[in-house]
Amino acid sequence: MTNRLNTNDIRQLLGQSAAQLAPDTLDKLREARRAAMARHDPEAQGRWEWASNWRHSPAAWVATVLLTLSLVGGGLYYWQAHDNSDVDLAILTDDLPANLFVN
Amino acid sequence: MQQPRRLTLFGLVLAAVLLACASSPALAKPWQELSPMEKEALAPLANGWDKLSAKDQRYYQRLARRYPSLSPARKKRMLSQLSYWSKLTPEQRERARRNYRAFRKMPPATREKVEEMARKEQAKKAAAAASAPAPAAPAPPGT
Repeated sequence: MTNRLNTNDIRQLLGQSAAQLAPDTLDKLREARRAAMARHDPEAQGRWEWASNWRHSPAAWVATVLLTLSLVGGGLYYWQAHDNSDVDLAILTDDLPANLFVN
Repeated sequence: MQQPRRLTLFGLVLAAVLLACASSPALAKPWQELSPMEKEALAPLANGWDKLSAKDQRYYQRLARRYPSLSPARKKRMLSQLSYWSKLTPEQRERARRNYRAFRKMPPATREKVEEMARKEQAKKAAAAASAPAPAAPAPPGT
């Protein structure tokens, strides 16, 4: 035989069980709840909510892609700006000696 | 939401790898560890190679990578210039690059004139160096 309980049934059963608890146990539970509520900081939770939900946001995805592209692009630009091997090889292998371009 | 998370992780790892590659100083490479082709291309620098910084070594290795594609005449010119080039300061090299770029932008006729003048100048210097008297002996006293 199986009993199917709905939420109301469960609530009633919990209420009855709580009523059977010893008064000092109930006091301790109340105190624990109060302490937990005191620790709960809705503002702080709101501050970090974006971090857990960022992956659902198209704007966050666009920002991530832009950041990655800018890192890659910046790296390539830096590498090209500091790589003079093309022009240096041209100078070294030119008909004219390199010292002509230095002076 | 598993796939976007994987994509994000991939993006972050890629960015971290790129940053690490860009910023990490590679270790200097001893002459013995260069490939035969690099050794041929950088032969004029063999004696001082191990004293070069890792950054300079990488720079010369980049040049050496292009060496096999050069014509024999250009290879010869590179080998003859490399030792002189390696002794230049970064400022002198930058000046040479600036001058060379400006030179390449000149119209062909002007460039030929400059080349002609430069060759004459070189020839004059070479002749002067060849006919320079040997260091004179100290003059005898009383003359």
